[in-house]
Amino acid sequence: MKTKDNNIMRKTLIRSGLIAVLAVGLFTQSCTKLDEELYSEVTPDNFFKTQEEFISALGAAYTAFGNYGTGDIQNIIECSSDEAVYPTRGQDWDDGGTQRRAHLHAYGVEDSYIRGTWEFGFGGVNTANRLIYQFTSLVESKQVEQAVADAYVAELQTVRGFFYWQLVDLFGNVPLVTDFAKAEAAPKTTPRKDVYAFIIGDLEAAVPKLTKNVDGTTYGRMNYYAGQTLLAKLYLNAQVYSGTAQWDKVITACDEVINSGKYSLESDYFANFNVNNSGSKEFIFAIPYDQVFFQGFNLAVRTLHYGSQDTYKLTAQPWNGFCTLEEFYNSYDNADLRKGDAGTLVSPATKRGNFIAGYQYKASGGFVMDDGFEKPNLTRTPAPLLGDPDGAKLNLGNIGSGQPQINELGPQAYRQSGVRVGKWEIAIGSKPDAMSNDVAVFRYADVLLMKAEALFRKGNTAGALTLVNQIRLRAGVSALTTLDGKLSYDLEATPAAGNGYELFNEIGREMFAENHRRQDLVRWGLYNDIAKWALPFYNPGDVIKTGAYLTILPLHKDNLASNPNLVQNPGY
Amino acid sequence: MKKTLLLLVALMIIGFYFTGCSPKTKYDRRLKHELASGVRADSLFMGFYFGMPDKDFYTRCWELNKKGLIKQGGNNTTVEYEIRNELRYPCVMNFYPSFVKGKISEMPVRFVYSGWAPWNKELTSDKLQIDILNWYKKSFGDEFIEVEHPEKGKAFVDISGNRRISIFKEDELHVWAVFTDMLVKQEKPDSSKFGTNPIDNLKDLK
Repeated sequence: MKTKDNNIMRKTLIRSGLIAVLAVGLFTQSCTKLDEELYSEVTPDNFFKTQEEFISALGAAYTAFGNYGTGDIQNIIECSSDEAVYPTRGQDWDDGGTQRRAHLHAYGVEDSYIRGTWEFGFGGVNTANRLIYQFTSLVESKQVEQAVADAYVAELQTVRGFFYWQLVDLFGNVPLVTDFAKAEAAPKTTPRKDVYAFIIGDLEAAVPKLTKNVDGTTYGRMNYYAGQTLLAKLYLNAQVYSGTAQWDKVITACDEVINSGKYSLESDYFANFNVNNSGSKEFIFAIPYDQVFFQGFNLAVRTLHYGSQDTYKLTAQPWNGFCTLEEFYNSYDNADLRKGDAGTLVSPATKRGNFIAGYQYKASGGFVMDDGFEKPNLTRTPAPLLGDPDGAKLNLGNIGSGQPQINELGPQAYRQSGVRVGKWEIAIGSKPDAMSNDVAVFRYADVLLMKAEALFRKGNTAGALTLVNQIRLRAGVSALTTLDGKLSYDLEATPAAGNGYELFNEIGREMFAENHRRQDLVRWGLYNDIAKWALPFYNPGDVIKTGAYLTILPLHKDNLASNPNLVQNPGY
Repeated sequence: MKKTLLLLVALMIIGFYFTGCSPKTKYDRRLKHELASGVRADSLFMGFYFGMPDKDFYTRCWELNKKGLIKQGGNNTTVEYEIRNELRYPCVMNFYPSFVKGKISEMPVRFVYSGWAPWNKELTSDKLQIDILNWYKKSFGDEFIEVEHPEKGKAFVDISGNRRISIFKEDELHVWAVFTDMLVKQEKPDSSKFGTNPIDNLKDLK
């Protein structure tokens, strides 16, 4: 009995001990397990395996879009154009002159937005490459079926195409890196036309494999129509990128979207820009920003005046920066529903618009007061400062004062100078540095305008007018009968017939602040008109630069230093 | 006897799981101990500190800007400082604090090797994270603990008095180091610049 009991006890101890060892083993493992994402060395051990993990892994590719809304790339695209600027208001927004250099096209190899734009582009490319490598490796090891992987890989190729499009557009000549595992240590610069050819070839193979579903499962992802829109954007600028125009291909790609019947113009333009805008019928591809879960859209904090905190009851004080240029603001007809109206001495603005202009009121009532308003300094050289004309009453753009909306680029733009960007709804009580509005990367109205431009370039002005007038009808303005006109920033000149500048102006009015204008200026051959829209500037050393080479950016000095095979773009 | 032994072993196992050296528990114990110590550790870097009034922060930034040490940061939302010597490779750090009642309560800092490119595996965020960890150990002490987050992967945390430093990766390029005043953590910041710190989601830790 005693022996039997001892045996039972021994077995019990052994079993209990085994459990304890397993437990300790499990526990020890939990102390040392490292499932981290190793970006320098991706091995099959940390690959995703299930459908849920595939979707989750794809998320990293889309996270890379986060800075598109208001990051460095938006800064250089918008502020080098005739539609937006950061004036230097004393100490505010001086930043060593980087903002002014963007406006004057005097950007250099040390400007941080140059490096940030590079990081945005290649960050997206690299993430897509890594995920493509992981998917294809799973197929090769027979852990995932080819057909399953194909759809994901095609989607990732399209994402990569987007980021390479940004790189080829902004930097022109860049290294072509398409294989995560076999990336060269110091790849050479690839000529712009070759990069363009690669993107086109890659997309033409990938896009037909993308889903044609347009629903909750594809929102914020590259579906077939987003792929076609991306192709249309590339074809639209093919002359710039490769030297050969592709207008027919623009039309074909746009028709894939238009004729699908899956998208249409919203009856209310601002349905695209509300806080709750994810249901927009115009969104072909959008970034689903969120004040908690996906931050990165901070337009309100950058554009609004400090005092605007009281208008919108914002959780943080804005920074009084980003604003539009007067000629661009004036290019909108007063009846244009996109323009909105300005606050007056009698009442706040009653019509929402792309702009926030004029007198500003507190949410609780009464004028917003700007105690730090600019005071006159008539002896300042080289130009006297008249000061904010209304004193402390906040009047954005000094509407109705008879003074310019922005007195100068720097060093002392008035605090209240500049009409601000109100295109995206600013919710009362919201965080201005983390807005929840989704931002459309590709929007149906843009597809209509791309097709209109392609038709115009091919001599079909009547066809182009039909499309442009769809946009104008929605905006509440009269139909155009000709596309010829004067440039919004150069009303004194009389351009030759057949210029199509009303189409150019309309693209600007519709797509304002949507990372569009720089590319339009370059494609229309107008980028070097900088002197016609540049603000007066008085900071020592500031200078306007002109030249064809400026249509592509320099490579940042740090990026050059990290790869001896990189070649700086000509002219820098 | 048998029941007693099984119960004993079961209790041991439960005890191991809930009071052992799991990262979360270690973190919890460390946090509790440090907050109970009453020690204040407010210093951050470059003369910034927890409790610094926002006006003093801006004044300090302006002073450093005039000296050419810092400048407008990436994406127009941050202050930028170029690290030339402290790490293995030149690096850029961007920071901008969160304020509670007008005083610094949290300082998120985002790092990226300035020469990053897809082809340079030496400049990826997993290398940078270790680089920053080693640098911070010299400045803030060698008591960082390692935790693992289901989404952010490996992270390192140090808690000294009221100051928590958490170092984690964002993506292939970027690493965050977030300084948090844990005594005011419960209060809602006036403005959170960089979203939720994954270290706050420790309940999600594996």
